[in-house]
Amino acid sequence: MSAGMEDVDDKTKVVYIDDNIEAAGLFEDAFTNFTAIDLREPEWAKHLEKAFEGAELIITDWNLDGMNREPFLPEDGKALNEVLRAKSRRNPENPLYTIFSGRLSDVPDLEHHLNRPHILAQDLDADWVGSKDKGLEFRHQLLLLCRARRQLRENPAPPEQTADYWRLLFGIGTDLEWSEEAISDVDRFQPPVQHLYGDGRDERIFLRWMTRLVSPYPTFLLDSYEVAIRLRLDPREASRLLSDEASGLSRALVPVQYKGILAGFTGERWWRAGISDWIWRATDGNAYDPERVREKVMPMTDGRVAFLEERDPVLLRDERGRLMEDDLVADASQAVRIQPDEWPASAPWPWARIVTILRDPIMRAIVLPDDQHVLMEKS
Amino acid sequence: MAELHFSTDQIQREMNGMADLAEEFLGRAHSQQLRGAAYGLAKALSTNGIWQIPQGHPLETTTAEHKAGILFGRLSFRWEVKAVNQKTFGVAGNASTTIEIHNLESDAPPLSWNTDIGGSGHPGYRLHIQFRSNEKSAEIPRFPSILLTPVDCLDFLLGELFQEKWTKHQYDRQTQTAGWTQDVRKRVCHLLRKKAECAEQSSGVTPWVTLKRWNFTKPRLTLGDD
Repeated sequence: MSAGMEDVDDKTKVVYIDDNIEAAGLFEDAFTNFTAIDLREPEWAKHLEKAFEGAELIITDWNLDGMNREPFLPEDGKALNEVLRAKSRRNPENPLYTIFSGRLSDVPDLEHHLNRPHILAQDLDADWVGSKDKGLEFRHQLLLLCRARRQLRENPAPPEQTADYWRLLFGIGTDLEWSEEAISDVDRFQPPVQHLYGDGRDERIFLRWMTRLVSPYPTFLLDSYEVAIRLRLDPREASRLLSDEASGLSRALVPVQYKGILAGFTGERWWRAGISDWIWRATDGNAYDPERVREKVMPMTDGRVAFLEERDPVLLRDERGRLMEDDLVADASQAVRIQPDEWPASAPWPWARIVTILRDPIMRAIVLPDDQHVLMEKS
Repeated sequence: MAELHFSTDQIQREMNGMADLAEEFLGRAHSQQLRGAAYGLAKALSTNGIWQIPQGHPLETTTAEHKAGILFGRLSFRWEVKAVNQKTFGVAGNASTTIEIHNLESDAPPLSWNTDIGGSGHPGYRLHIQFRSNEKSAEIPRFPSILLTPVDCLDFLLGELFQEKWTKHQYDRQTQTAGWTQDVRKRVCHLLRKKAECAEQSSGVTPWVTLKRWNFTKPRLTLGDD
């Protein structure tokens, strides 16, 4: 993920704020309009005030221990971002505030945000967060966010033609059989369209919707594990295959791969409506027949992926909605649906294994009311 | 009379699940109405024993284009129910689901039929479908049926109106519906097995006549968790 020519942003004014600016180099070749503020320098506030003028992207360290400690100076990156935000609440540039740190695990309540950057971003009032040990990935995400914001600014939403607008934004060709279904799916997830036109428009709201509510969950877009379960394939093995662009499965699914705004932000995604249509056609309308699915899908895997024998396979998740990497799949008869706190109500409720729930009172408390009686039967 | 018993939770789960699944085909208001009916079951069991979506305020589907015209369906039901215990309820009298198919391009009266669980003293199959007319409905004919609950009937109606679109939609939402559809599968398979058992017991008469006389006793039919 090195910064090639296509990965250079020469438009966005970026301010990088850290008490150790060694990592700034990572961004300097990606953003040409770039200023680094070293919080160890005595005049940092003056430099920051000047650099902040017209800035569109703020990258702030979380841990500011290296900064000269004085009363009422911001304790951490979140507080510093808030000071900047308060200083310029009417900044027409609507800067993106981000946190970039090598010590994200120091942010309180680690279990709550572990492996959930979208939750951490929310907790830190940031548009996105990145870890210094995954700096290239974070840089890539920032480039995508800035590009997406430009795209939104250059193409404000016409309030009367949202369907056409979604086609443009999400890259849904009108020639696709499943395009209407895809548009309906997008609408069902309530995109914040009111923030995309008029004087008060703020593209950040849309970007937060994409990064916090769409990308992390099975919505109108699916990640490779969710695709795998629909094709009745072992999710981990299928995911590996889908990350290989040359594999038969990857090539077969290219027409339903997501190519719209923020594509590739947290890995590849595929259209839910597209996947359903693809498997429906591939099996001549017998997508519910496991044998027909096996006949069609298995040759594309070159025997590298196991076919799921469960009758109604479902992906298992924990009480936070994270995938259970050591116990990924169960038959629906062995599982019930749960309602993790931050899980969006528009997304299908995730599943958890019944035996796991029976051992864990917290999980038991978040079982969907409709599924509670199944627990009673099994306990 | 051997009552037909159902698991209260399962029937409510099935109805809520169908409300989610069918929202696109019912519209949001009617999907909510179906959810309301799931709640209404508990209410009926604790009050007057009438569980219903009344005929005056039926569920209504969206429209579907057919050769015959632009069609839509209506569904209402009225079940007389009573609690057997905290988890189970029984059909305590008539249990009837009414379906109508209307054609927006025709003045002809709608196609209409009932799916009933008939009383033991009534003629014909206990589980039957009966066509209705604008005149007072005749008692016969009663076609043997395997559709039981209002959700079974709605599933059937949507499958007829929307054909492949409904099947494809069900496949599409499989990860959402996998729980409650397993319960329906168990119930349908149980009923079919009992019907097959009943037909195998026929002696001296045809299996049809044996099935027609089946009063859910030999073999005994229970559908809930009791």
